[in-house]
Amino acid sequence: MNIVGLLLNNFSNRPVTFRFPQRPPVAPGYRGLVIHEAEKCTGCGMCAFRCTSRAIDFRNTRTHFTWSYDPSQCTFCGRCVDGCADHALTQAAECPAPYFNPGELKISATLPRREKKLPAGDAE
Amino acid sequence: MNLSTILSRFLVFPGLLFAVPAAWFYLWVERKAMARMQQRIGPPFMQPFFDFLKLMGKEVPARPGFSGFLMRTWPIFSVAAAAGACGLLPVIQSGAGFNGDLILLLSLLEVPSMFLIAAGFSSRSLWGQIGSVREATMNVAYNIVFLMAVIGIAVSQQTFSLQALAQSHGSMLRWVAVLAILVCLPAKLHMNPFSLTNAEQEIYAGPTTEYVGAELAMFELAHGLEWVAATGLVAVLMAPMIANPFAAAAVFVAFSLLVVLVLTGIAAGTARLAIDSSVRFYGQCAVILIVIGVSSALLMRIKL
Repeated sequence: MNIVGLLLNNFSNRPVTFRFPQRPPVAPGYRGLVIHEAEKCTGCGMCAFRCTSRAIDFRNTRTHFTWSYDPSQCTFCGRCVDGCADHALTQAAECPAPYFNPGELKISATLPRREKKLPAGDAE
Repeated sequence: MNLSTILSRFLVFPGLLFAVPAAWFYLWVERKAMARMQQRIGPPFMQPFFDFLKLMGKEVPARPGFSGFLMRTWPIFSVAAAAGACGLLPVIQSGAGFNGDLILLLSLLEVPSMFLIAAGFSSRSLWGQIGSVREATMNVAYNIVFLMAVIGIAVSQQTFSLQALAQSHGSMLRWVAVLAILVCLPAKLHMNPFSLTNAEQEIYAGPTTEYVGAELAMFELAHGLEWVAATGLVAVLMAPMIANPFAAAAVFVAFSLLVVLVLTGIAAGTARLAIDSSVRFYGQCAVILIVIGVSSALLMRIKL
């Protein structure tokens, strides 16, 4: 008759699910959506190179570059964040917000090309 | 018994005007209690009503021919029969009943089940037909027990009038019969462990697999009304008859909800049985209860 006790216990305890749009708390070190800080990005394209799931797209011209991110393709592995020398990429520490339209979470930024600031010893 | 009393019973209380919101409410209680027993938050209060509205607004595909006509007809008749069964319940002392209304109630309670079987076959879907065969098999299995339990009570009181049965005093026999009816209700309402008819992980939605939109909404409503009628029958047999109509209605709803919670608890705590196990259960275990009931009823009659 353990099942009766279990059911009564469940009935009296708080439920573990949440009503929309409330979201569950996440564990420390949770890897969420990739956040791009445009002012830090120099457009090196290393993130797109390291992205194995092709969630990050990088296109550049002589004057500008376009950085795009598609979360529907992202596996949240964090390789792009680890490989970003400019610390322009971070990962959100919470679940993505619910959305209603396909592609709503996609982000894209077109920025002017900037010279990467090299350490003083490397400059010729 | 006059026409206005009969109409008020069938159209107002406990008929359509009460039974339809009560059906949604009982469905919500069942879903909410089931969710809480499984540590889920469950649906909001208005969810069964919203489900009904949403289904009513959906497009129904054109169904040509006689089978299409039948597919449109079964849900409507199911709702009518289940609502009629609710209207027959003697919740308030009105004198609107008649001798033999118990038989009418039992037959009306069977009509939605019969039409569900017919709906599955009319749809010509493989899953619908399997669901219909399962429903027909379970119908035979549990109805032997269900009918014998109800008839046992009627024999002991020497009447087939629901009003007379509701007013009569409870006895040990009645509790045995009510227990037998409770054992049958999970099969009647397609709940675990006898949810073979609409075993969603096996045969999608069973007989209603091919149904969408307003037709499916009507079947869902008929199912809710079956809940009201079936739990109401147990409530009428269990609850004491009270002269005050408001108190009588409150006691009726409270007892019905108690039955809903008990059935939900059984469903949450059990897994679905296979068809042979289900039929064997009703054949071997539950008939024993009814044999006790009928023999006691006959003994009581001899004593009288």
